[in-house]
Amino acid sequence: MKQIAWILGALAVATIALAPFAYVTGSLSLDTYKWLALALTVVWFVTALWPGVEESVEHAVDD
Amino acid sequence: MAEAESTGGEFEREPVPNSALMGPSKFWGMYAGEHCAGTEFMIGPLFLAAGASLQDVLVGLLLGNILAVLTWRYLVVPIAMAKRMTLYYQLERIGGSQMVKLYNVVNGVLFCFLAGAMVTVSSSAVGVPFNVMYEPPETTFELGTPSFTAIVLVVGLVMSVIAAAGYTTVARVANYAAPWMIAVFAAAGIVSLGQMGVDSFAKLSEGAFWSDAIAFIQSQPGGKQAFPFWQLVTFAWLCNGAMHFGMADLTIFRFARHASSGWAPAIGMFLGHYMAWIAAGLLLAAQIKLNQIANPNPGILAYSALGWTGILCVVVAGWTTANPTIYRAGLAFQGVLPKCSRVQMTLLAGAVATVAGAFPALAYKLLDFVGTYGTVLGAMGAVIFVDYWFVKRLGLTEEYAARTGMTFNWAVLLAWALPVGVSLYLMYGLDEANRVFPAYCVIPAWIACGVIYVVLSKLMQKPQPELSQLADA
Repeated sequence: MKQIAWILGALAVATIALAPFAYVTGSLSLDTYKWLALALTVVWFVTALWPGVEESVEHAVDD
Repeated sequence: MAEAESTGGEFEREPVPNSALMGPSKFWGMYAGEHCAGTEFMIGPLFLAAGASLQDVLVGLLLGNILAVLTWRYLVVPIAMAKRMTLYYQLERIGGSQMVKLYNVVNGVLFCFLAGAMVTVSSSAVGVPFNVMYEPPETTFELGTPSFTAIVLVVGLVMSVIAAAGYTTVARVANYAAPWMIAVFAAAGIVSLGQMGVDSFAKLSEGAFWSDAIAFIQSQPGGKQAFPFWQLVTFAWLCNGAMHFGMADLTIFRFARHASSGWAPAIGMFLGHYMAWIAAGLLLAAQIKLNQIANPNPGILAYSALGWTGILCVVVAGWTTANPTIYRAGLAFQGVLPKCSRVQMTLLAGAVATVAGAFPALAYKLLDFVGTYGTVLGAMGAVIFVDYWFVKRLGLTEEYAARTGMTFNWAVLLAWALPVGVSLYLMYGLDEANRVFPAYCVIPAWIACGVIYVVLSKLMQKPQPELSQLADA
């Protein structure tokens, strides 16, 4: 479960950062992106606060 | 360990023991969070508003940030890992306890003004849903509209109370929020490019979206300014002068297990002070293209590109950096008035920051302020640098106050005050046309401080017995 939360969080953040390219190319409207970003923000904070996720990320960086 | 516990478990008055050393992740997380601040939403647009060309911004900021990372790594980390003491304790051992109190007052006041700018930026975002706009008045010390001032007071009060309640929770939230904030900053830049119709690499490299925005700003009354390449390099290098040249981050890196942790500021510099500044500049360029409005209102800029996520990002970025700043200012004040509690002093610092935040034009002067802050606090780092690397080799006594029991080392005060006084005169005492950009003064003041400290120590120090001689006796 911890790993799923990890991956979901990473995907959410990556989508927030990269989805605007779809807006630039005209395949996503700005309004849709704005609501998507808000929903993914919720996903990020839920996964970041998931028990054990913080420690496992820290261990990965330290290793 | 008993002493560490008695001082809050942070080893404020002893070297950090091996058992308390930390791996790199803590440092990378902390620098990512602290340097993706709400003020980045203000600084990026100010480059554009000051007329910096896109090429200069891209190359100048890159070079300046590389220099900043190298300064942290090779100036701060070696001393931090050798001594493993806080800046304050190390300074106390050189300058004496009374001298450090004076430094603390200056430090605390400057921290409050920095936090004030963060309160202003956060308030600009909080005001958006209530249709309260951030509109800086003509003069620096003039309040904004009554409704904006009311929002500043509420935001400042909330931030102060949370900072007074403790630092740990906010630091954790900052760590959680850092990757998200970085993603939001990146998204803001890309969305802005889309809003300006930059949909190909050719349009991107042509850079008309940036030069058109500069042309619009410079056509406005009072808009004719210049921000050349070396000014950008210097600003990016020295805007955190207090942290690296000033050695404030000795307090952080004393916990480093490996010297490689000294590269951690790179994440803050290249994401917070490079990508985020450029993205924030693009937000203003897009606003100019879409609405012909050159006012860099961080809340509105973020909202128009990213909606509620943008508002949330400005508030969180401002809050997670204002809180530790208010907390540190409170600690600095408590060092001067040790009988007052930390909570009382943090609330006092929060009140000063809130008052500063109520003057919206102060946030407009952020480029000047961070240079001033770096010059005033940065110069003192030279005393620590000289004491560690040169004093013994020159036949002088290192950590002079600790060795002699003096409480006020005049050599330190004069070495600090003289170059800082001259720098402040050059920054603010001359006619507007002849004033020196504050970030330019950081390194000259730092070098002058180190040289003056050596000269005065030669004149004022009395020979002390070596520690080995004392042990023999």
